[in-house]
Amino acid sequence: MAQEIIEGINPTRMELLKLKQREKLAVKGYNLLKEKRNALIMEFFNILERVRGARERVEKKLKEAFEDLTEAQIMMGDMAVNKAAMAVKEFLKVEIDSRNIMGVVVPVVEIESTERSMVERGYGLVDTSVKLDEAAKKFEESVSLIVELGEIEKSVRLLAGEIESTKRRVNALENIIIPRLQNTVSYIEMRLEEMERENFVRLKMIKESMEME
Amino acid sequence: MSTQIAVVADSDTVTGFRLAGIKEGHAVETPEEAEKIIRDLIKKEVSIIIVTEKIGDELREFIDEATGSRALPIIIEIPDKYGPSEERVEPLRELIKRVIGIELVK
Repeated sequence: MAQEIIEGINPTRMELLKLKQREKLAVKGYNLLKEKRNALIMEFFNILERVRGARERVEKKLKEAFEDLTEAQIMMGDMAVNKAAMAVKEFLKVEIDSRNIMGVVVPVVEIESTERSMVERGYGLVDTSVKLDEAAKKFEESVSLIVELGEIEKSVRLLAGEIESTKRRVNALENIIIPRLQNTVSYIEMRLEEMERENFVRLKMIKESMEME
Repeated sequence: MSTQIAVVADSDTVTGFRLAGIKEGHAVETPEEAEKIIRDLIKKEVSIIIVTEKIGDELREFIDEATGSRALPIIIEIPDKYGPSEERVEPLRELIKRVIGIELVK
């Protein structure tokens, strides 16, 4: 434990009172921050449950999607696939909201069902292969997985950052600031007691010398 | 708040996501190009940007800075058609290890 005290402090009663106030405040802040840290970590674990497997699902789905896309490209040729892709209508609707976890704002993404029927996609059905339909379907499915993954990863990242800085503050208070205040308080108390004893001895000596006369 | 999704990736990935209905697809060749486009997209307040892991690895610093400690934009890295790179250290896993690791020691 650090034995240092705050430099340049006068051992007076006034300073002692002030320091005691500061110590009280520091302890209060420490307890609050500790609670915040614990709440954040609990939330963090909740999200970790969701993160597990999310990336694997995305990777798997995308792999299938790319396989179908490649097959479609082989059957129809790159140009035709690109043409069909250009013809697809924009239709994704994404809503972004935010949630506040202990002062950390994390995004909440809502995506309307991304899948639709073949006709709704908007490319011609005559000159396209069935593999293209498959690929489109799988990419649609993967979009919602990807967006979910993005939301989770972002939340994890933000929470982790906040946990780290909270933890650093908790540790600084616990290991440095509070001990230093306590040490300074006890230093001043010791000095004051010492001064009292000195005074007592001085009074005694004066009394003795007065009695001698 | 309704928003848009954009894709910044190689041309095949962009085609794939066009099929899924994401019109804002930018096919890029070099990391510099990707960085410029991502900057523009962020300026246009596109809040979800899908990039490939390759681009993500090249632009790690820029992406960290751009997404930083804010809630938006969300930049998601996905594998391209060659699949996820094998020895890739996933940045997220590293982060979790760091945060929980300290907890376990404590």
